[in-house]
Amino acid sequence: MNAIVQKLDFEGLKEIYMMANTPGYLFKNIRSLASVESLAKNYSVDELQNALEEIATEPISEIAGLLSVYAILIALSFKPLYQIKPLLENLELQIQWGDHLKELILAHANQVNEISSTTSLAFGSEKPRTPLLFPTSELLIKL
Amino acid sequence: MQKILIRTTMPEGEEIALDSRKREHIDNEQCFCFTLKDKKECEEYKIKYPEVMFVRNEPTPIYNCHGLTFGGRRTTIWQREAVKQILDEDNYNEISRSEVKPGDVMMYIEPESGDYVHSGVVVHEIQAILGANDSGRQLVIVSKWGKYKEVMHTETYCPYSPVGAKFYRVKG
Repeated sequence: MNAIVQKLDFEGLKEIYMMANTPGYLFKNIRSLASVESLAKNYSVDELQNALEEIATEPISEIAGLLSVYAILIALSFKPLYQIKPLLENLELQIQWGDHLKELILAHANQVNEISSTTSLAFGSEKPRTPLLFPTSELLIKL
Repeated sequence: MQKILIRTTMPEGEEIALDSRKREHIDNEQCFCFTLKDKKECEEYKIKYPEVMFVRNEPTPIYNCHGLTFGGRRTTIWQREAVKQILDEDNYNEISRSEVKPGDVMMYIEPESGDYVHSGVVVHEIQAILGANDSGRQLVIVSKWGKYKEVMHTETYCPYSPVGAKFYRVKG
């Protein structure tokens, strides 16, 4: 098992997975788990992608593997859209509700792909005229 | 970026012939994904939900709640459009909670998304001490909890929020 999923709340994940009648229920309830939000906070998109690549090396044969995939995918929905979109486009999910979950993840992802608020704060203008094409953290470093 | 393929050892779901009264196809999927296998795991849910009145069968992913309520236990119906199609084309009418009788359908609806997260058939009503609604009665529902089992429970005693629930009856 990949190290980054070891701290997941597998009991909580399993119950949500077992009780889910729809992908919407699965998505909403897994997203509300603290351990899934922590996954998003503590690991970068690249690290989450690496974990998915590791899992993808062979077909998943047990429920814990599938729960790990659901948790990582749904953790991606906390990330900026521009970071996860290329990854999701390259993911082929032959798991239950895979394609529908992709849509939900994209719909809920952080839309911060063109940051304007930082320049407003920095320079006191209401809104910058030209959107900036890098995320807030990179912009702060540059400033 | 190289394509990442994630798959399981389980067979993919398959659709069966399922039509509405209007003879229109209803999207569905017989699912073959992982479920609980050993009794020990099932016991955990019995402990977690001790007030459940009755549990039937073993866990199965083949059909879900909507598959029990509308599909004769044959398949999983999960798309919002498919459930809406059944309600429309099978001649269901929304009724108020105070009108509900055994045989009517309770639909648990997620208020934000409108997702039909759960459904079940009303079989009974009991006087409620706690959690009473308009008339001090609690409805008793038979439903299937996802890939778990068929369960008889009161309307509020389940993993699905009853906030936003609606009730339906076949008009005839």
